[in-house]
Amino acid sequence: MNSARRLALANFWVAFAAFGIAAVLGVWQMWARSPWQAPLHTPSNYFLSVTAHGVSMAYVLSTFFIMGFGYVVAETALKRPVPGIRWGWIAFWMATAGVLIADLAIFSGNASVLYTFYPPMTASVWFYIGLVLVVAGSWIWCVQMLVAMAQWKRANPGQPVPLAMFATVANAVLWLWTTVGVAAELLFQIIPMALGLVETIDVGLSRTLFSWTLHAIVYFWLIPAYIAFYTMAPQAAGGRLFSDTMGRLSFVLFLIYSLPVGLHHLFMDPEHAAGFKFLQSFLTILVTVPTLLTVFTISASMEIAGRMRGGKGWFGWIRALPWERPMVLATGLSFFMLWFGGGGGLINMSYGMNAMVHNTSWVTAHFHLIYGGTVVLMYFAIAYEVWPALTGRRFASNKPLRQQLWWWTIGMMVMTLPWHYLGLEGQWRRVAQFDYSDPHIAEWGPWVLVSLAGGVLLLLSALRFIVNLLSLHWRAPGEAPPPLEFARPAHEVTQVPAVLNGFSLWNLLVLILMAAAYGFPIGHALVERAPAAIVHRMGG
Amino acid sequence: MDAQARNNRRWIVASSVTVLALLGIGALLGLLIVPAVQGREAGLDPWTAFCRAVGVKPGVAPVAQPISDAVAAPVSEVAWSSEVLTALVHGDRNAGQALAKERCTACHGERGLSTDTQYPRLSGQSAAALYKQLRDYQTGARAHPMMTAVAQGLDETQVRNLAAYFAHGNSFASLGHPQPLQDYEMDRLVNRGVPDRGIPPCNACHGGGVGGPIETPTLGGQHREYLQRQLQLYASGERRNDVFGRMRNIASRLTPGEIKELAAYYEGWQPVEGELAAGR
Repeated sequence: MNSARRLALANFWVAFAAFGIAAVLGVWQMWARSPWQAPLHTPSNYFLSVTAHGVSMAYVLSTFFIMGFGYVVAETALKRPVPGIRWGWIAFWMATAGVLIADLAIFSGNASVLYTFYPPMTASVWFYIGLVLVVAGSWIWCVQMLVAMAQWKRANPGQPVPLAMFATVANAVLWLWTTVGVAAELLFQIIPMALGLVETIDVGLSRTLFSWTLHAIVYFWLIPAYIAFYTMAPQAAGGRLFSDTMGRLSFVLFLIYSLPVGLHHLFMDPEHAAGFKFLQSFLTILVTVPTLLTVFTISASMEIAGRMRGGKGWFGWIRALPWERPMVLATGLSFFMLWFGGGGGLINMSYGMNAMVHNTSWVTAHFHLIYGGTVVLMYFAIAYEVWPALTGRRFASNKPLRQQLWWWTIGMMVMTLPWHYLGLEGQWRRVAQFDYSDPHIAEWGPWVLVSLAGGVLLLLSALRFIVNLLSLHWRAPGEAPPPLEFARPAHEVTQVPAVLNGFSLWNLLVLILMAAAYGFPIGHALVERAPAAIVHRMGG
Repeated sequence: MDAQARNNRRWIVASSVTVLALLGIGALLGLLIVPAVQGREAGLDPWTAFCRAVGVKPGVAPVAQPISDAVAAPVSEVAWSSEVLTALVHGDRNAGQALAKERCTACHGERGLSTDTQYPRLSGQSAAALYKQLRDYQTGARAHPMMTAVAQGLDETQVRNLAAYFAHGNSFASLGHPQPLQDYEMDRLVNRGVPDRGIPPCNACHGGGVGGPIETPTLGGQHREYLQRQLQLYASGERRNDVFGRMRNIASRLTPGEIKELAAYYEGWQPVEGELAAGR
């Protein structure tokens, strides 16, 4: 195994270890909110657990997975060694140390602030230092990806950068932009607060800075799934990618429209005026464009594959697809969940409807369905696709892989649909337990139990996933697996417009959009000092 | 310029124009058109509407709230003014003792140690606890076939003297100390509370030397029949002189079995050896 692959595996395993632990906590949390008495259930344990679950799933699983996948793509798509492997290891160990430090702060009860950065609640400073290390590690990865693409372009002047790598670099660029908001919040507000240097804090400003990060981060998590849609699913289905240009456009649109839209998380906040909420809401609508482009392009690519396999008629090609292959199955299931999750997202970004679901379980259910469902399911599929290449072994059978994907999908639907319903009924999020003897909410109880059943299935699926991957490490190496390859476009691409082969124009546009969308809201907060909240420090 | 370069330039221009035009449309709608149109309905001139949409003018002018002339009916008329608290400390214990012999001991026993389990033991209670109940009987906030008449026969000074007498530490010892609990569910009720049923721990207020409102009675060593009856009365809402309905809320969430067990538990608090005798 070469060094880039070992590095990718190390990143993947930290991601999946955190995922396994967080899955156990998740089930316990749903149990704690249900009418059944959960062991060790106290409000402080609940919030500790939510913090650990959220940090593990949203920051550790995603970031490490994306780094690992980035190394695989850089090596496989560019067919060159990954630059700065030593730096990659430094990034890995830095981020891993960060995770351990943050986890120590969480599990010692000194950081039960959930995984969001909403002062005046403050964790121990170690929690923030740990997470800063994770982000700093990921920045090194971003630079590696940028350098890898630049080196390749120098060696292949005028050639289009392979789509998988173009998308990976889009994600690295997106991540660099994304983290600026939370980095400013941590550096100028939260860390001084955690160190006890300030006693009060402008929470309006910190919420605004966090909103800068908060929405775009979701697209950082999502892009690997889209990379798989464009470059792995058509290949697995035995077909071609319908349009390479459509893919490039989608990733570029994600880059520019996932950033200037964070205020839609602050619709109910008083510190911003309606005009900027409207503007960012308007820009949010444009995020649906790359999603719809993708649904169209991937459906078309799958149709090509289906018809190549002899599928006839309007829908015959769907049946003709090789559903027994995990990547194809995962893409289908992921699209299925995307309809529900995307629909819910449209509701969240609409001012009036958002007012009704604000701070209810609807929101929690939504991001579990869209991230935990659509995206993480594709993480599994990607892992199943790259594991043979990383370990040099073949899966004995695809059946356990398919089963695991089905369990996850069914579990996620069973868990999140009642959860959405409860949000509409007014069930609060971020509450440690409910008094079901209160007749006003007694009818929620059975629905939470249904969600709990979904959660148990998700846990079984999570464990099955880890066992599936481990089984490959334990197998005796047999016949070498086929090399990892990305889908080729239906029409071979020899040349693309310069703007779709790099990021300078898009960076400029992001700068303009961010200045328009956030310049005044942030500047206003700096010029006109808001009444500050008193800092509430955790752990004494 | 070759075809490739022309194509590149077309892409740059087209994408920049599209992105900036969409940004312009969003800004135009959000900052100008929608505020101006909606502002007209609200009687705002376009400039004010724009300033409000941007956030440089406050949206809603402060409006004075109408003053309510509704009169609150308190569950208890006792107010812990400094005058009352001082009077309780300086109450005349001797006068209280004489009065107690006359009006109280027949039911509540010598030194407040009743033997008939339907009458509460008064020994070990604080002056504030005793004062609050006597005053509530006087005002009708709490009712009892006998106690209402007895309390209404007392004047304010007599109530204070009686409270001072029964609460005097040198004469009356605490009736008991917290006992360890073996049963998990009971331990939760008494010491940790059951938040998912909205029940705070009993001992948060009624444990020895802890928080809770000043008038909170001590429960240790009290007759179980009396405690059980009071919890039932709170649960049914028949007794209603608890401020903010604290005890009505809690008692209504307890099962009859829990009420019984809690009453038995508090009766079981044991005094330290010789403590009762020391007070003689």
